[in-house]
Amino acid sequence: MDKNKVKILKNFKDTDSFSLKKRREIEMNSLEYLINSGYMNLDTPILESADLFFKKSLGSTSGNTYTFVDQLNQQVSLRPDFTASIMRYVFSNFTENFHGNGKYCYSGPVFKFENSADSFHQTFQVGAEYISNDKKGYESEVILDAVECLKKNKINDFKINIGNVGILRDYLFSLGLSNTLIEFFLTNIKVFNKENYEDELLSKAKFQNLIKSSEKITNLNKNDIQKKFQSNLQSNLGLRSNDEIIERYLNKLSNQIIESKFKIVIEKLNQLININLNDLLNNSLKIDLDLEYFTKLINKLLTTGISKKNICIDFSLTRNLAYYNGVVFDLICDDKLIGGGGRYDELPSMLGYSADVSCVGFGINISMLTDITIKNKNE
Amino acid sequence: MNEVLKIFIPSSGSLSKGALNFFSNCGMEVKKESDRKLVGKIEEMENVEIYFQRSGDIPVIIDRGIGHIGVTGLDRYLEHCENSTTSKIVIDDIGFGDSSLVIAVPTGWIDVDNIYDLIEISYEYKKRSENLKLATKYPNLVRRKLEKFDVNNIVFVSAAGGLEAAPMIGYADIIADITVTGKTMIENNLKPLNDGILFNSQACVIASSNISNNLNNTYLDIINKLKKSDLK
Repeated sequence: MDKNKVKILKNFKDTDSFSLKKRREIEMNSLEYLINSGYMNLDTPILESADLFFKKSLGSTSGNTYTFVDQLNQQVSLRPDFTASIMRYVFSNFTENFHGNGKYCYSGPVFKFENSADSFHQTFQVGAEYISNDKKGYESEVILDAVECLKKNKINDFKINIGNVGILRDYLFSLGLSNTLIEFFLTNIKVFNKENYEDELLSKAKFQNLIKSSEKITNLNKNDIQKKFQSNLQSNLGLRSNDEIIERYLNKLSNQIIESKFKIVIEKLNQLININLNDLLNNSLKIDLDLEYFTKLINKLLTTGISKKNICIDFSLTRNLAYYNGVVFDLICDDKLIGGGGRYDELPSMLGYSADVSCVGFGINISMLTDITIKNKNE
Repeated sequence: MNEVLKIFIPSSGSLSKGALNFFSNCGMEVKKESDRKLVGKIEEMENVEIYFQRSGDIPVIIDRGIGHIGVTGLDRYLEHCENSTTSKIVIDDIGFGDSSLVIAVPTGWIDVDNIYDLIEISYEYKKRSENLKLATKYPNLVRRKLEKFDVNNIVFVSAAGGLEAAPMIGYADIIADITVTGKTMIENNLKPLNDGILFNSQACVIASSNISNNLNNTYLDIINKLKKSDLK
């Protein structure tokens, strides 16, 4: 008869009363701190238009999002995080009257499909977003608020991994790379942590047709391509136009780089990724890069209660999301990623709002924090 | 009334012929009164009935426990029942029905050679608030395979037949379909991607996970005979 029993969905779990009490305690402690620090508490629907999350990540997280078509034939998603919903709320309600800083905090369930047996698809998050008309600053405030949420819940043993996607992007641009190659390195930045990173990057670049055999510039123009591929271009083009196809073909050619240059970029990027906290603080960098603003941020964190042992500089950190454009950080506790955040100034415009603002935020997985707290107590 | 073990075999095409040969080679000759009849028997197996159904319907018939054993394409089974707890693959390759699930794009897409190009094109579509549309009879299988390449932002449009014409008539941009030689694709101005083979398929034997005690001996007897086949 066992086979007829309705069971809980795979990768979902029930919460017993003890864990629920603990989780609510963590949620309340964090929210209380954030509200007292000037954040306005908001709530948004669990279900949103799938486009909201798609545009936010430029598609990069759509495979992990619970998306389906509802009875009104709308494509909808269970929120994978709060940031996009909070941005939608803020900018659709304040477009004309938005004149100053806005600090918003939230808590609730989020849903993310992950292809791993031991991860849960529904977790609880608490977090905050700091939106401002000033184009710089607030990273240290937001990081310190995230840390304070941990401390309010008696989590003092944590690590903050900090990187900066903006610096990484600018550095790649300064090496003369095309946008496609910059995106290639940003997408594959974690490969640098592997032993055979050079071979793997080269093979990936070859697979993506990014490596050319010689420096000779192919001076092909639109007409040459049209002539060369006349019969193909006169046949089936599907839903794309002739011009669009030729333009992308030419772009593909111009994005290619020769192997020796590609290897030099790998070497230089590796130098940036290997910068550690001491190099940064002692100003003993072997790389020609303006890190003054970033160093100031680290110094500010160190002078406001976070010790050196809690901070790790990691320029390979990108948080896998397309919308970050500056500082990014991960919060690690008990060797587990329990939260993180960063700067995402371009998110409002990605969502279709014309707001020239600066946005910094963080989110903490309080389901995981609850498990860690209970485990630590038992030990 | 005596319980009967129900075996489902494809009703037409090469899978049907292959399945009947396969059973015959395993010492189980399937008899039916006429070609049009959709029910048959195996000699000396009184409590076994053979049913002929479309190969695409057989996975769900077995998965829902309507039938006990079935012959179908591996592609069809995985499309409908991958990770199912109510049915299973008993023999994943019974030696016929070889084919591949392939992604193909219009021949005019001279800028597209591999799946990475597709990722880029899908992002370009998204930037202008459009969706790259892929027509396939296998949306689940194709989605799972493409996700491994981080291709997420593709909209699947369902199609039952004549897939090769979909890009020409504007119904979809690209297709993913089962092919043996790829000739039909090429004749319809489509080119398979260099790395576009998502999956290699062949005929397989599937079975329900819930066989009653009354039928278990007959079930095991048949499965053992099928597993000993020389064709495999």
